[in-house]
Amino acid sequence: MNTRSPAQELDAFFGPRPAMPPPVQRLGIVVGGSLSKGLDVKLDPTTVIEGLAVGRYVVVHGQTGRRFFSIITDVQLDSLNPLIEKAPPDTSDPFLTRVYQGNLVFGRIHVAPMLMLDPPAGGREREPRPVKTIPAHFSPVYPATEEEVSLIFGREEEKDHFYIGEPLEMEGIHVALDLRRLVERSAGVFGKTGTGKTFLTRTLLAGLVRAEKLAVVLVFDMHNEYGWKSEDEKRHEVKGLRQIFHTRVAVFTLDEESSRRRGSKIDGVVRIGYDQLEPEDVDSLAGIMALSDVQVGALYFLRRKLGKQWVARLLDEEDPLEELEDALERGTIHGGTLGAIQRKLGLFRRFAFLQERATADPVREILDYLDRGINVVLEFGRYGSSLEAYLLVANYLTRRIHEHYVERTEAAQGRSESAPIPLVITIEEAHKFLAPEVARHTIFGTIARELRKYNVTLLIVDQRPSGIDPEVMSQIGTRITCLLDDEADIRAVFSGVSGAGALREVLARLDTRQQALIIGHAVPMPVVVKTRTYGTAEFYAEMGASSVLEESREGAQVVLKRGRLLLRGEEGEGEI
Amino acid sequence: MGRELAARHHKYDSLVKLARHWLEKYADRGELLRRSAQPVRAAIPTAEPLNFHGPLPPIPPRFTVVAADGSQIQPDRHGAVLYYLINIGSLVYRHGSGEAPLACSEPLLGYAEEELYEDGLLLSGNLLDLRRDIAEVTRLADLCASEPHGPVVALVDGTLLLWVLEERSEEWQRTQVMRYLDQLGRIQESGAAVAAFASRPRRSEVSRLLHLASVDGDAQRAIRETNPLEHLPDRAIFETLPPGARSALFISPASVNQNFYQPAGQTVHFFYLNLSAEEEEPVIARVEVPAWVAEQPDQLALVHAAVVAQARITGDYPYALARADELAFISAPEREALEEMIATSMMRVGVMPTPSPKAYYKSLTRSGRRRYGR
Amino acid sequence: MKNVNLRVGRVLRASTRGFTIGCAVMQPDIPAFGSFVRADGATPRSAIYGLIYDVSLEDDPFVRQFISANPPEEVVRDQRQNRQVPIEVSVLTVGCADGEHIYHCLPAQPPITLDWLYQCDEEEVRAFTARFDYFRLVLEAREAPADELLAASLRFAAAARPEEERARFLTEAGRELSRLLASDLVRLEGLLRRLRAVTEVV
Repeated sequence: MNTRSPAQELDAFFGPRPAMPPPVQRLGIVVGGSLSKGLDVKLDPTTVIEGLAVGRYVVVHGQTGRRFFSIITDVQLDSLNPLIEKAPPDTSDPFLTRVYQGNLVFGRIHVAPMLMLDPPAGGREREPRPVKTIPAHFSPVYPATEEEVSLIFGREEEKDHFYIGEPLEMEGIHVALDLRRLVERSAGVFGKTGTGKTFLTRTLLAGLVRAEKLAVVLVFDMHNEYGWKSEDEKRHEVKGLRQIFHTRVAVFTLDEESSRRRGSKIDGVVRIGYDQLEPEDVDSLAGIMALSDVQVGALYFLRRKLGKQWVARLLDEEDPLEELEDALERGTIHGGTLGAIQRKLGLFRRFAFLQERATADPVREILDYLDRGINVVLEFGRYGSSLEAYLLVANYLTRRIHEHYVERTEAAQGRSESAPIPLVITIEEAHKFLAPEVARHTIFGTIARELRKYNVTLLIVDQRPSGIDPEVMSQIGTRITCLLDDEADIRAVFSGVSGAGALREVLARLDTRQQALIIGHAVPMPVVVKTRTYGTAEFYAEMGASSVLEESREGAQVVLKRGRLLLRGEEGEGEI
Repeated sequence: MGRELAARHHKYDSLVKLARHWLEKYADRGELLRRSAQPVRAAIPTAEPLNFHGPLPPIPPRFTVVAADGSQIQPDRHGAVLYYLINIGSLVYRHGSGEAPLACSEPLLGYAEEELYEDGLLLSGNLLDLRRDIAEVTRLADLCASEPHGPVVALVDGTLLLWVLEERSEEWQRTQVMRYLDQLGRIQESGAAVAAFASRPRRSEVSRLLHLASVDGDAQRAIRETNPLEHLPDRAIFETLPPGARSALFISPASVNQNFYQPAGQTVHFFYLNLSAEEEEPVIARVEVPAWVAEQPDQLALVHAAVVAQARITGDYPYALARADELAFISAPEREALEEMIATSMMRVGVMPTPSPKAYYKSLTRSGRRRYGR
Repeated sequence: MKNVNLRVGRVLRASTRGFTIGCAVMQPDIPAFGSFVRADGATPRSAIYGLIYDVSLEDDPFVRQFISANPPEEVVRDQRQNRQVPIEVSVLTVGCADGEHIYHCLPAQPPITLDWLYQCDEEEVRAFTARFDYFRLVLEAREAPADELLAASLRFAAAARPEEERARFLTEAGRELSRLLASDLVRLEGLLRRLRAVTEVV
């Protein structure tokens, strides 16, 4: 079962409690501000300023009965008379301190209103809506209650909602991501190195895998962390997706030896033949291979001229390449260019997963699994440390898989087939794929921009969001950010999200681990969570055991429902 | 004018010198002068030599001084209603007790027919004064009677001698005086002493005595010959008294003393007293005592010591007597308040108070007690 | 100190801002600086509330004339217990009442008749000082030592409350003062120190 607080258990059994909030101590009152820049709140004398933190939730009760759910974005000290800073009172005197505190000197918080909740109509609670206005002067401000936070976030029982973590200082409240909305757009997990991005991504992927019909994932696992197993910082073993979800996840590898050494169960080995490589695939390495525009252009020429074996032939030192003589003479292609290309392609010789001739179609094999709704993790083995390998393989596979999806989606529109299950492609070091210079060239830029037109979205993991093309960034619907401390990175994470600049302070103050700020499509309003712990027994049980429980869950619900009715005295026969 | 004053001063000084010289010279002539003193209204000598000095006796550690004084409101024929008010203030001061004195203020309102008139005469002027004097000593007698055992001195201001209108019948005079003397008798019975205290006394009874002595006690000669000391007050003579000491005892030559007091055993004696302490300017006062005090050395010494002790509190006047005077005083606002109360009472019983026109006009011009402003 | 009602002898000055009266009281009954008093207002059932900001002893001729230095004990007691002392009392108006409610503002009219000046009992003081609006009237008074007066009045107000409420009351008063005098920190601190002295005594 889910780990719920006793209150939640009771609520689940007896039905929701009537909407009567318990009396909460007022924090202060609104004294200024604007919709665009946020509200200024003067704290009451009794409010302890040290008890407030950026990232926590407060609720402003407006005149009309509306409630404005807001997040604290700054905490300040202020005074009625600035001169008091120059001549503070004698603090050894408790009487003076009591008199001055909260009155002559007082605290202020700056809050960003995010959602507003109209008063209940017809006895029913309304849905939270985005803010379009602000509360009046002197509206009282209260800390958000657990009920209110649950109202907004805590719907993990709902279909396709996944418990991702707890809000700050509110243990027991489960913030649930709406996975359906998460995959409607591309999403990103950001944070500087060591902040737990990988664990967070793993958790997300686990959620996606568990929600079977929702999407299917393809993970380009650079450091072999997602497939079979990995280690946490204390060197404890953590299970990978394959171990948890068994037959629902397939693991491919580029480096069989490495996988075997690590004890990963493998479902397939990826090998690419030189004859399967196209100029576009090499083009995606243009930046990293330092291919000039001329050289990139030449690739296409060479492919045309040399045919399918073009790469093998270029790498073959013996091959005279007569077809090119003409062009060389005419100057269509420069000798130096040719030489450079040959030299740079020599890189491919290092990659053992590249063969002269293809013996299988890795795309086909992978697609086989994906079409059946089985998630795929591609381990890179030792090649993970080679950025060229990562870029090459990710681009190669993605380009072709994407094409396949385009076909299938168009066919579904033509009603000759059913639409494919949406695909989520997970890539790391995303700024290498999506830097402004390359974003237009790579398939990933295309996928990001086309907004799931063809049922493919990205889940990017990156520690340098400022390196990502801003236009692409603006298409990232949901951003899950751990601590970032570079100004450019922080700004990049907030670009394209209206009103999120106010959260800058919140982001800069996150804990170095296990805390993330989630903004965007998949959450009703920005939230700072203490992320749930991946790798505990409860976690595994909740993920892995769920398929077994799925059937029993149906049965359990029936029993619960009957029990509820009995307790309420409505012992009807026909309700079951 | 300065020269005139200086001359006058010079003359005065020489008179004082003369008087003092005579005091010494004729100190032992008292016996001889006794018979001829009264006709010339000179102080009648007693057995004490004229230049006698009685030093200040030791002041007893505990003794009580009872002082009373009175004031009056004359009946006003033009007022709304006819009444008189006598207010007797009294203070019981217990030396050496450390206690607060008992202060009291007792009004006597006379408005009934029988109170307002005596023998057909409206009680005002001298008649009212008499009534007041009698009320004073009555109060003293009451206080002395209720005072616990111990030395007690009763004090009045001025004189023990009543001033009765001499044109009235002797019988009437006697009645008045006896009323007074009865109270003195009561004081005597209670064991207390009684005295009258006069500050800045202006009498010249002793100067006249000295003049009489200078003409060998011949009353005729005394009358015929100019008394050089005629305008010399006795107190000037006695300024040489040592601090705290008293002069010789004398008997008052007033006719009422001879006619009424003496037969009742209340002959009024007097002496002069220097109230001041060591190294101070002399302050001379005149003290009267009845015979039964003068002839009792203990009582006399008590009176002497008590008066000095009381006077030294203020410097020159017995404290209890000053307070009694203050307690007797009816202030203008109090008087107004009384008249308001009277008017109200009359209205309550259905009588409309109507001031006479005279009073009314007076009130218009004299009013304005409660004015707002600086 | 028991509350004594003063019978007014003379009115020297009366305005909407305050008044000065002359009266005679026994020595122990001389009213205290900063105490709350009440006088009848211009209309029936109305009252004017004030603070005593000056008590001056009038010249007493008797004392001047008759009492030397170092009087004996009996005289001292006589003065204290038997004689009334003529005094002048100056009162600063801080509020008025219409028979039902108390208002912390100046009355519409000055007291027309001043016959009695009633010293407010504890209940009245508590009721009057339930709000702090009268502070302004005191702080702005030119004719009185405003800060001392306010501190003294608060001493009485605190003493009129049960012990457990006093500290909180004075803290609240301090807070109100810090609002009013935010722009004059030096004056505020001076006043708060006086209040603090009250917290130590009360």
